[in-house]
Amino acid sequence: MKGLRALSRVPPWPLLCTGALALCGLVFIGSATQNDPGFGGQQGRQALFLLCSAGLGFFLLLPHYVHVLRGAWTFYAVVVLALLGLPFFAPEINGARRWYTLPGFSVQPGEFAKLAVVLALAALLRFKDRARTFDGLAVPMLVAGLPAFLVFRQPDLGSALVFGPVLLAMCYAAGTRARTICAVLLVAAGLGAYGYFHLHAYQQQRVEVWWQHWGWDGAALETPGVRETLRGAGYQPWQALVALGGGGLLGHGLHQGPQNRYDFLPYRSEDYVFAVVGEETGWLGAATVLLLVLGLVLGLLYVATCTRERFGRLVCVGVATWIGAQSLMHVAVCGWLVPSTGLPMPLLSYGGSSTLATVLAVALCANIGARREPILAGDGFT
Amino acid sequence: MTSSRARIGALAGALLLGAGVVLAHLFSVMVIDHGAWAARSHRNRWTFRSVPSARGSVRDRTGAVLAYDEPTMEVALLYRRFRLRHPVGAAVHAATTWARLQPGREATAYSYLPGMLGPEAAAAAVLAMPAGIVAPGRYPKAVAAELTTLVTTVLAAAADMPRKRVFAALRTAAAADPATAVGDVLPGFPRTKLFGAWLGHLAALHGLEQELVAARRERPERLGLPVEQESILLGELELRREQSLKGLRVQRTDPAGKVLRDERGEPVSGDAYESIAWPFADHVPFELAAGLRAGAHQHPGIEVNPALQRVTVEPAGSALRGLLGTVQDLGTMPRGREAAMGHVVRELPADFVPDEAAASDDDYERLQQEAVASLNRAMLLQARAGASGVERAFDPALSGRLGLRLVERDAGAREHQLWSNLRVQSGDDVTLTLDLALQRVAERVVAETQRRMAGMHADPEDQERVRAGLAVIDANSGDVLAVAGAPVTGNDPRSVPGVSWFTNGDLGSIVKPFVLLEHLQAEAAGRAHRATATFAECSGSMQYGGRKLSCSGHWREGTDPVTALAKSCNLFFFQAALGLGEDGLRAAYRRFGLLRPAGSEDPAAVCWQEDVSGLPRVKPRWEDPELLPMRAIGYGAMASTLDVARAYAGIATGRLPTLGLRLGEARPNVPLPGLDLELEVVRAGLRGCVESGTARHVAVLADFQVHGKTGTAEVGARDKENNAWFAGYLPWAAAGGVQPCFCAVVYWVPHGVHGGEPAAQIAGDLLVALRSDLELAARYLQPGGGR
Repeated sequence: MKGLRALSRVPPWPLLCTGALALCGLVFIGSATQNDPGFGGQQGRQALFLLCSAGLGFFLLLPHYVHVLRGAWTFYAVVVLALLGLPFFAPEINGARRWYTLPGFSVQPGEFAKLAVVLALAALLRFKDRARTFDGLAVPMLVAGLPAFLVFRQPDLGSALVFGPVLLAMCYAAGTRARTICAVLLVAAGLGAYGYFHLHAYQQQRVEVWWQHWGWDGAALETPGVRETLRGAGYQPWQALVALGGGGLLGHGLHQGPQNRYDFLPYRSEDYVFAVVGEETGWLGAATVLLLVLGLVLGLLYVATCTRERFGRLVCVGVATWIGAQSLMHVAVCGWLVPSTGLPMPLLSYGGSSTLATVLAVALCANIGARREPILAGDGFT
Repeated sequence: MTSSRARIGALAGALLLGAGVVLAHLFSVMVIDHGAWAARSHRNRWTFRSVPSARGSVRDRTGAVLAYDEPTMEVALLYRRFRLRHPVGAAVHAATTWARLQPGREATAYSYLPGMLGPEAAAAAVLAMPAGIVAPGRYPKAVAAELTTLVTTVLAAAADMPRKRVFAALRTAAAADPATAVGDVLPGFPRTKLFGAWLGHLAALHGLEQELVAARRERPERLGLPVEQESILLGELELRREQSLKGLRVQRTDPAGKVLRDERGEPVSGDAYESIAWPFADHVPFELAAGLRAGAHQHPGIEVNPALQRVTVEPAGSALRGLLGTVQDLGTMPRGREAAMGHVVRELPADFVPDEAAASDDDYERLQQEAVASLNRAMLLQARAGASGVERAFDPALSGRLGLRLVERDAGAREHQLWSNLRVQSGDDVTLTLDLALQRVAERVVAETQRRMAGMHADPEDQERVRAGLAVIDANSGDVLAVAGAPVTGNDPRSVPGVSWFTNGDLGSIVKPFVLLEHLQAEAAGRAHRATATFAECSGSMQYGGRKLSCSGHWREGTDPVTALAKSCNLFFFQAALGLGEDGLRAAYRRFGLLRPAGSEDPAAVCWQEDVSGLPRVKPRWEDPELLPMRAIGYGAMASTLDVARAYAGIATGRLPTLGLRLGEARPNVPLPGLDLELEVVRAGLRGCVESGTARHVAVLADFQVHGKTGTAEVGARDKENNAWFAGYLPWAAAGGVQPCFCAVVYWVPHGVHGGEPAAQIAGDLLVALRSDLELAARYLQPGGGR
């Protein structure tokens, strides 16, 4: 009963934005996979994922989220174990071991790792004093770094990169000084530069091509070397740019985007779905989708500000950062603002695990928002 | 310390800032630069597709087809795909790349041909390579990527396994032990098994080579190439392998053939040779082509495309084949030739690119220019042009024009929408004046005579010098009815004896009618001459310029011009020449187009025919120096059988026709006014030559009442070999208005063969053959003509 009563206090705005984004995702996945014999069933399956996710999310709304706190570390441990088991039990698909194949569906633990890290960090950082010093960050870094490393080794560089902003945002929200955050960023930048030389050859090539493309003008595009690059390592990001740029202000119309229709853009229902959005609805449509994302993110942050209980607040911050950072990175990849990497857009891209993890995360935040307890003293849940 | 809310606000600000940056970037790309990106989007999917045009057929005057286009299939090689995806190509290139990484082996190159560095050795080398090639950091990135691709191809084909599985196995092996041999990375597939399976692919490639060679050999003779190739596919693979290893690129040129250069003056390079699909085998049988198409996955990089093959009804080595000439791909001709032949398109109709196809005015202009460039490029790749003979002379009519379509296609190059279409124009048929049946008869009689005369020489060198030629024209219209020669050694009109000649082509006595005409006319008109009444009787020789000039036909019966011509008395014509002088003799030749006029003011300029359209021939000329009297009997004077036949047509009709090879074209006749009486004297002499003169030994000529003249020119310095000539005409027009006029020659006849008999025999044999063919007789012999 209490659970049902709490439903009346669920903040509507994040759920509305989530619903709108999910609906957009369905529409554009349908557009991206129209007439495609290989991927034609994705829209139906995505609808099924959404339904299941919504159902599970509903049930997540009912109990008090303190139960989630109590299970946070268990969930984290299960996810880490699942990530550790991938090299041994997961089949290699497209050169990576990311999914457990179960009868009728597959599960990608890397997506749930993001939620697990948010919950674990929130459970860890809810004690005020822990996050303030540099060495106080060591354990949160370990907590976030271990799944991030395991995801990176799949290999899945794009998803691994999401853990960084989530960690820093949650630490900052938990009280870490800005100077400390900057120091961590500097160290991360240095590690990133070092890590570049240990990337796979194809990953290094993507970075090089991205760097080169800023200098391409009309004449450079006609040279054999650049043409060769655009047929090779630069093909996907270039086609995504062509799709976006060709959309103009208003787009070609739903199902009418030529880059989409004529199969010039690979993986356009997953890693480049935003390019489809831009091509078919133009800048206005793309901005609308981004505004929906911002609406969701700001809505979650608002829930965080209204929640005085630290665990709940940090969870909302983590989920908002996760969704916001991943969405912006996906859009930046589509616009070739950053080197290309495979990163789905939450709620918009096709993917059962991603959808489920995101919906559950939003449902958890809605749960937190519905149970903004009046705090008479202390920070609650210590 | 900032409050938690403030921090969350700061985080929101950071996210908003990030979103702002992203939105601004999207605005820049999608709105500000929309035009450029829209144009690139168009470029992605819009392409110009050319439509090949069929060349017009060449027909004879009766409508019989002489040359035509036949649909066929051709096989092309896209080498880049072959070396990356075919197990044999991948093995050769992988082994070469790997060898060149080893010190001291930088120049190693494996080959498709058997040998120490043959394909089997390459495959063995590949299987022995360490799996560590796929590990990052060990080798230069590009080299490692290429080696990985090539090795994956070899293993995937040998093990019949998906490439992804093979690649995964390679990476696993490289991570575990980089020294593991590539041939040992696949569990359940030992190296020997892989090598054995790979040999199967090599055998399939050799099998394809054998099929192509066999198909080439079995082609009908009418399609035969001058040189038979032992190797088709392997030769092509070797050529493209070398080009690929050298990284050769097509040099871009403008339509005039000038190399394009960029702003730094460097030549602009086009596509790599290995990125272009090069046709290397044409007229592939349908069964083989269908098999290749259906089994395309077995031979990646080898493509089958429809093509058009030019077919000639006559075999190689025939004079007609030489006259018709050859057709060549435009791209194989010297650059600039296509412009000279009118195969360059400068602009297309303004509405070819629809307005809605362009993103902007600039994009529209770019598309129009690209359409023109695309059409010209397609012409170089697909269009054909006449390289010689009739095919070249009438190329503008025969060629037609490629069609061009602006289509929208997808990433798989499948067409989805047609935006614009420039209709293909097939070439027009060209009808020649030649008569195929007459031509075949002419070639047969000429070949027989040539063989017979060659057989009369003992020295093989002399046998090879014997050539024979025959030209038959219509004296009224100038239509060239037949041009035959033997032997014919090329596919060019100039390889037909008679159209051109070798070394000495002296005309001999067949020029005497023209000299006689000038002598009689000069006598009547009071120009410089020696009066006939003052001529001395023939004594067999005379002295001139320190030389003894002989006459072989001693005739003491008088100085009658008719008899002198019939008996071919040299002394008569020596005296006539001395009277006419150099100017008079030149006028004699020029009146009948046998010598170039002095200039445009020369009254005989209208008699000169510079070119015979469709039939390049060596033009008449005098060779200097020669004694004046000898010029009068045809020494030092050379011309083709066509020009001599034309000159005799002037005698036959009193008008000099203009020769031509295309039926129905208007060609002027040049009248010869004021010569009626003189022409009658000459005609009487020609009649007498056949009935009782130097041609009397070929009795059949008299049966046909031929008017003609023999000629013998002694051209052999040592053994006095001759050029034997005969020129003449039938003194009436046949039922169709055609009056046959002919000239035959046999070069390098052995000394002792009587006068112009071999050549006269050609004419006689021709007439007998015509009479025996009812249809030809009806066309060219008056019904009941002859005895």
